Amino acid sequence: MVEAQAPSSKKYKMWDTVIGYLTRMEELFDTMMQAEMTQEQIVNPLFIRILNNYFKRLYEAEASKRPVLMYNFCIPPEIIYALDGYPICQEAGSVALSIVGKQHLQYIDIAEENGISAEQCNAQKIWIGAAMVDEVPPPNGIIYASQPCDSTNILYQVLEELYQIPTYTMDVPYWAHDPASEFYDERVVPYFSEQLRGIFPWAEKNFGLKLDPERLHQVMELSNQAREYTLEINELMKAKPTPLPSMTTFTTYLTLTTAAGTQDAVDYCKWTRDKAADLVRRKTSSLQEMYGLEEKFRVVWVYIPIFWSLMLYDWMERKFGAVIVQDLMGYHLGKPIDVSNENTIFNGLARSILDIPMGAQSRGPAEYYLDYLLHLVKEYDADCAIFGGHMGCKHSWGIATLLKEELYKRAGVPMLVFEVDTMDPRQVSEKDIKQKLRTFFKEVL
Amino acid sequence: MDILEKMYEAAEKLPNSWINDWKKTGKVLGYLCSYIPEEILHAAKILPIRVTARGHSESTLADACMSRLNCPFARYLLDTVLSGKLDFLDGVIAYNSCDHIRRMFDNWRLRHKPPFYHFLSIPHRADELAMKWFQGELSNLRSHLESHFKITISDDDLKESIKLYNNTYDLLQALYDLRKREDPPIKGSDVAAIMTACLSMPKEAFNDLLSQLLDELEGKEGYSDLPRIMVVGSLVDNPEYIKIIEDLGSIVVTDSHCFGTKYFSDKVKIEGNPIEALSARYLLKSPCPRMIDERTGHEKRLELIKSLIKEYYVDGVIFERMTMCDLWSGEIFMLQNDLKQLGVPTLILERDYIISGVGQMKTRSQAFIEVLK
Ligand code: SF4
Ligand code: SF4
Repeated sequence: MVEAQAPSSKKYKMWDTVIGYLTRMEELFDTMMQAEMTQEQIVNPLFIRILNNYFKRLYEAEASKRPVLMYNFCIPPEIIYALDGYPICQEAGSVALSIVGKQHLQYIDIAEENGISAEQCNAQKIWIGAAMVDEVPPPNGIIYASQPCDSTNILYQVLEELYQIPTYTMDVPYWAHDPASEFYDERVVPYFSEQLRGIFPWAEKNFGLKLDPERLHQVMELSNQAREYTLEINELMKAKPTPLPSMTTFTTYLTLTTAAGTQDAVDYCKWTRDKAADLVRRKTSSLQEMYGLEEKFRVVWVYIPIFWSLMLYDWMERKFGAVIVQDLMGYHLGKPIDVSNENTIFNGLARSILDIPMGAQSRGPAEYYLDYLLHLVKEYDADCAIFGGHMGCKHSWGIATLLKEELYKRAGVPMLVFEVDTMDPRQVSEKDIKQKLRTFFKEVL
Repeated sequence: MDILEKMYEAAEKLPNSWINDWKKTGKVLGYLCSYIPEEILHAAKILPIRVTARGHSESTLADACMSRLNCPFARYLLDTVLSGKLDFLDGVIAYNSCDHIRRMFDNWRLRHKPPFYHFLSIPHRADELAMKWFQGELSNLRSHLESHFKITISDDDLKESIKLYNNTYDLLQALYDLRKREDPPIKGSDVAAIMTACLSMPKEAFNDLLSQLLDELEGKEGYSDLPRIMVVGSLVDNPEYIKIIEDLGSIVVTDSHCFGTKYFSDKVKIEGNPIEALSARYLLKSPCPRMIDERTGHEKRLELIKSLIKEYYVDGVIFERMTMCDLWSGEIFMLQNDLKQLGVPTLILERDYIISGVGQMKTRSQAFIEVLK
């Protein structure tokens, strides 16, 4: 059995950079609140606080010898909360760092100088580079599943090699679990949920963590509350004008990826739901209230946000009235889970992993992606789609043209396609991206 | 025409004369990647062919559908499809091997629909649960072939095919065993042609040719005093690639890629349920970097490479990595570190699918071979 690391006063530079930034943001918001400024900020203060708490709790976990378990973003953290471990979502760490400054670029360079190839996805490379210079918390164990991409499959093997720690892997089948799908296979849910169950004996054997059914139940209850609010938010975002700013659904996603199963996630999702409901009731939007502007273009953002340039979305709104009504990561299909017994919980969690953003679209045939896009443009009455395709995501690039053609053919909706490294501004600059967006909004739409 | 010439002819491009002959009376199915059991197709009296883009040097049609960020093999293969050069196939079998190939297949299926296709969800793990899942996938393939081609594939048919293929695997192992000699009697480039031929013609004819060739090679004087190279990485279906390395004064004695040892180094059990036997062989065979559990993950793959280095007295390892290939890129990163610790010299050659940038490849390989001398 692997011992959780001894409590230490060790600090991790990558982690502290994120905490430092989030703390400054929190302070800034506090000052703004005291000055009775409105709450219509681009990023809401509660989100910052919750994310900051998530990062800070790592140190608490280390101090109390709770095992730190790393997982990829296609695994719900509820499982680790239920085990009373500390869940580190590897990608959330890399993403948070690329949002808050430029330090992550140095980690990309370190990884590449040490032999990780330039074309591999930065969603893992940032962490690998930081781990190579010991500036990121070392986990005690790793849990990951074979979705959504090759990069996950191979770079998690690299992480396993680097850390030499117990690792639990799961195979995500290609087929669909929804009986309405032409790709349906009834074996999918039992096969995957059986693998999920395997996490518990593995965690007990390696870390002495026992599954407490009572705790699992509590975690799932909290998870369900957050899920309910998310579904409501998704509904409210369909309103015209769409109530909340472009990055709303993505922040909800990030909250669920790190904190689903905790009261923090419930609080944030409720806050967002209330905010959206209020604006919808008043038939207005944050764009209207903040800037006095009208919504002109309803955009489906097909891909992950450009993390190093989140202000780009504010620019799109103000300059063109272009609001993202839904995005790939934000549209969480995860429905509340039946918590009647362990069976229903595991089957529900299995379904929710199969439906997880990015995994749901990417693990199977092109139709999973296309149907999802068609559904979004229709449900949200979108004027266009924008595919700022992350350069690491080769699976999506393999069908980007197909998606663009079919979206136009079947829904008459144009899609802008361009390359970007969503974590590295050195690949394609903000200036170039803005130029493409400008042309698209002015000349194509 | 001598035997080697015949092998080279079969390896040149698709369809070759064996396929054309077969087509007069039978069906031909293409398959993508090495986890698909040819034995099942053979038992259905269908000729299985591993499809690649060899002989095709264009990618314009595919470039309009996929991206420069996709693997060049996948793009050239799609181009071959879209240009109609694989229209001789009666269908295709694909699986979730890597992101590039499965997206290539999406384009194939949706833009140039093959007359028949079947897709398998092959697990990334090889434990009991995954094995059961894989058995289900193979049974589905069997029934789909039966219903589409209106045939029956009995267990006895499967066992006969398994025997034939085991014979192929034995013969290939015998060929590789000759390369363990201090003076291997055959060059690596010739072996590359033989391997590609093996995946492009009926096994009956291939086994026959290879048996004759083995007899010829048995007493033949070999190539001695040359640095002994192992080639590891993405598929190599063009003997010319190996020839460039050997012409610089080396001999390639073994490999770890799916047109080499990964194809034949494990046999299928003849006893018992044939679908179970095939599942076990294919899921536990020398694994590809897509596999992630303790039975098939990186440690297991390293172990296999280490034993090949020992058995074939390898002096140095050349990693050939197709640009944009995530799986091999990460695997080579790990292997290079592992082999460095063991004191095995290594070189990484990045490559396109078609042979290009020969000047740079020669300069780098030459310097590497000099160090090994
Ligand atoms: S960003 Fe794309 S390539 Fe990177 S981990 Fe996510 S799905 Fe994979
Ligand atoms: S070289 Fe890599 S990316 Fe290309 S087909 Fe093979 S495994 Fe896939």
